[in-house]
Amino acid sequence: MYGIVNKAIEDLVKSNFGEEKWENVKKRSGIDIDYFISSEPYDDTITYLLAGAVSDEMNMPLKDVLQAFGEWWVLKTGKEKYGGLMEAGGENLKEFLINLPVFHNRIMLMYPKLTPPEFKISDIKENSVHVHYFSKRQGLKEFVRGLLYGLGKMYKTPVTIELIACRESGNKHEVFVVSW
Amino acid sequence: MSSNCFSFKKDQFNRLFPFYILVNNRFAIESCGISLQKLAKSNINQSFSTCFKITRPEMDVVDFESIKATHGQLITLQLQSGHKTILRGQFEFLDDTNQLLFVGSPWFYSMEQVNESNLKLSDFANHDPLIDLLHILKTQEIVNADLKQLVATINSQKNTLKNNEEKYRNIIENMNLGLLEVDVNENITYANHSFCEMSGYTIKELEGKRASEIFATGESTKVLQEKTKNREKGIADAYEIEVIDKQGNGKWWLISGAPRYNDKGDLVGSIGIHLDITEQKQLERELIEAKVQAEHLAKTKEAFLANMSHEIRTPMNAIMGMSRQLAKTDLLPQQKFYLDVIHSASDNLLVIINDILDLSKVEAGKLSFESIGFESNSIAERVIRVLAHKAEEKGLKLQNSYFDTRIAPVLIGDPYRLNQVLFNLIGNSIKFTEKGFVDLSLELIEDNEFSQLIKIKVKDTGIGMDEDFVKNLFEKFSQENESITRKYGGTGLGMSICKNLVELMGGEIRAESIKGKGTTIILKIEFKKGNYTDVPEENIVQFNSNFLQGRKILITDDNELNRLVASIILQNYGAQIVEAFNGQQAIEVLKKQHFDVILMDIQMPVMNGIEATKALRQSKCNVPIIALTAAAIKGERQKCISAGMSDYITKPFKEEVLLKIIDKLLKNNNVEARHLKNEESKEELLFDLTELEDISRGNKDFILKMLNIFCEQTPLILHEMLDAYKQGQYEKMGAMAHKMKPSIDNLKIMPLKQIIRDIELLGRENKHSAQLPIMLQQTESILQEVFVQLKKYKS
Repeated sequence: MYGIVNKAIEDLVKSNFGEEKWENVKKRSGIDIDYFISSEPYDDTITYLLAGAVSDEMNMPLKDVLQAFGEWWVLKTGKEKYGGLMEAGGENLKEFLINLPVFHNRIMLMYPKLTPPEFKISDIKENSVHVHYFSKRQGLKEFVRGLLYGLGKMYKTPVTIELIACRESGNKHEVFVVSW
Repeated sequence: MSSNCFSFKKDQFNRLFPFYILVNNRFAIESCGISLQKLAKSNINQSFSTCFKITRPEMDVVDFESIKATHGQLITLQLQSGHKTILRGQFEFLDDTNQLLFVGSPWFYSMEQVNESNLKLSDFANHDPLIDLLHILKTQEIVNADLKQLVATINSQKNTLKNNEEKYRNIIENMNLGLLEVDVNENITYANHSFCEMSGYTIKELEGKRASEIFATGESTKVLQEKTKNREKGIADAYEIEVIDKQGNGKWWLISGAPRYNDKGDLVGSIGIHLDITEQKQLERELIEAKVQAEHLAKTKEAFLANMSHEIRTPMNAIMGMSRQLAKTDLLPQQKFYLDVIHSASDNLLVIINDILDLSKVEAGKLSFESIGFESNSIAERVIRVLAHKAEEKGLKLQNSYFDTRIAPVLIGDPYRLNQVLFNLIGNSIKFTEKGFVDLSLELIEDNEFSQLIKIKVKDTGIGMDEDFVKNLFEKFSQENESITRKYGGTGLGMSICKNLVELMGGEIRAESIKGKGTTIILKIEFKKGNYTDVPEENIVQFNSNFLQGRKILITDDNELNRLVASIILQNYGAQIVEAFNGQQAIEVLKKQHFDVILMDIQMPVMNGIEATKALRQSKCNVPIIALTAAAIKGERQKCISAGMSDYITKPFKEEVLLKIIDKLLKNNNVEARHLKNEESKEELLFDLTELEDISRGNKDFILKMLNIFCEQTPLILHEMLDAYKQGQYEKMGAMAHKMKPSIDNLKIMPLKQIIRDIELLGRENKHSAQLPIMLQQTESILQEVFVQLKKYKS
């Protein structure tokens, strides 16, 4: 993953728990990197180790850590750094979600070293859509759930999210129903 | 669609080119893209020039024909309304319809501009890379921000490093320890201020010079070379070294050195922290000298005590011996009374002398204790029996009110010392009690499998003591006040000696006293349990008045009184007495006459008893020799036996003790005496030739040759070793010890086996130790003794 992801985890921990906790997380994860460069690709293992260390250090289940990180990614990292792009994503949550596949496909081209997930949208209804999440990475579906919650908050639209299919249960990808 | 012509439906064309403009030949806008309409509403049918301005290329006249002529060029247009957005694209002339078609898209510098223009991502064609470009620009901004933050972090770390470096540099510069860095060739690369002060050189004088060439002398050069080798092996260590400073003054430095590596891990030299220990070294030398002096003083004290003992005991011997002889004669009652007073006074004087000697022995750690069986009830009985008359004289009741029947009949310990304590305690009680009683009780406190803890109480109804004095009762020279001293006499040493004796027997002693009511002294001592076989037999010998009839005894003593006492005693039993005044005279007499026994005083002018005995034994004289010594200190007996004497007796001696020893020696005859002599000398030998005998398979010539080599070479090596020590050349000293070691092992000089190895080790480590001078002294004295013994052996 690009450094911006690890940097976001760092910001999340530092902003909510302080510098000292971040040092503890790094020590616990065994990662000796002082500074993550946003545009530099890092091994995925680093991100997983950091997430695991946050979970251990904060005594939080990993899925909660990933979900919190998903929300943080949208509301802090996305809005602060790519606020314009996020805003241009759509007039409302529904429009943004419908545009999401195109959005990610553009990103894939811009970041040649990235293996971005792919999204598809189906079952578009007045108050809900199905978000299909395809990824080569395992164990990040809770991060996606956090992203979707974060988007709901960004558009000030309370959402409910239901995972109706996932790889663990034999499906080829995850399917979330996002309702508002 | 033919190969030369495309046709799209309007909505298809709008998805592909949402910002298109179609201009007719009247130069009016005929239609425009769906997204462009968001930027500029109601443009249809309006003149192109009203709605748009061509900003590139520069055109003098803007009309249909001039735009048509821009075919193939990049065109930028600016909207004349709203946000005046710039569009970037190109015009194409459509022949069939005589129209101009502009295909392009807005040119934004940021996504914020896109949003301000009310456009969304879906307003752009998917093939339009503008959004991607904006994203990349945004990312570039973020990366720049990252870089700025990174640079700030690096700068902050750089400042911290710089500050730390300055701090440590200041510490190094100003610390009182000298710091020296050298490269792999020992050339000095850095020295701090303290080092320059320590050595007397400036940094310029030091840089590039070899440390060993500037500071080291003699042995220390080798030490430094060895340390360089250690650093090459990655070894860090600390050592002391003698050096010279710029002014040529001798200094001692304690150096803690370590190898120095560069970033790649290659050895680039070494670094040493230096502490000037010249003063400590001086102090150490002074301390050693002080210790030697203190030991010398202790020896002097010991000798003084021996002399004092001798000086006092000699006349005492005469007084007591002669008064005993006088008591055997017929005396008038008045004369008998006077004689009793003399007896009593001399007994008291002897107690005082013994007290003083005991105390000094305790202090010197030279008091020895027996570990023999004794009958427990005899302890109380004896002391009561002996002191009963003293109690009776004062009208006191002296009793043993309680003796615990559970106390083992035989205990193991030192009955003589226990007696001494009880005599002292009960004697004191009698002395300080005017009426009432003195009571002794013995109680079992703990009965263990192999031992018993006994509580002994001495209680009196005497004058008692103040509480404050009780606390100091066991201190030396402690008497309650001067009037007590005047009235009751004594040295004030008795209780201190008792305490020491009890504690040396592993026990404890305490006192309880009430002024005017009395005192109780309580002892607790643990004794091992024994049985009757552990009790040494006491030979009670009755001597006939003629048991020395026909025996000729030589009495050697410079003191006439002593000779007189011994002569009278021995003549009373029929012995023929010859007297000699010193050792030399005794040897002369012995050349001419045969004797059955020789009594030999130790301290005599011309030739003392030890020298005389050695000379006699060397001249094959086997006559039993009894040492008569007044020096009642530990080691004296061993000295006499080592010299070849057959037995030993302390003045003033009791008649029966002297007779018993003479009787024993006469019965054992000369063979026994000779055997004793050989045994003693064998025990005393400091070397053992069995190893050499094994090596040489009993070849005596070889052994003698080896001994000759040892006697010739070892003194030289010893001298060199001692000399090296004095020069502070410890490594050389160690090397000499190493050289000497095989000979010491071959001759099995056991007392030196470990010492010589310790010296060798200290030398190898180039270390000094406070024990070193003592070890060297021991080596020297033991070797001197070995040389003497070997000389005798060879002859």
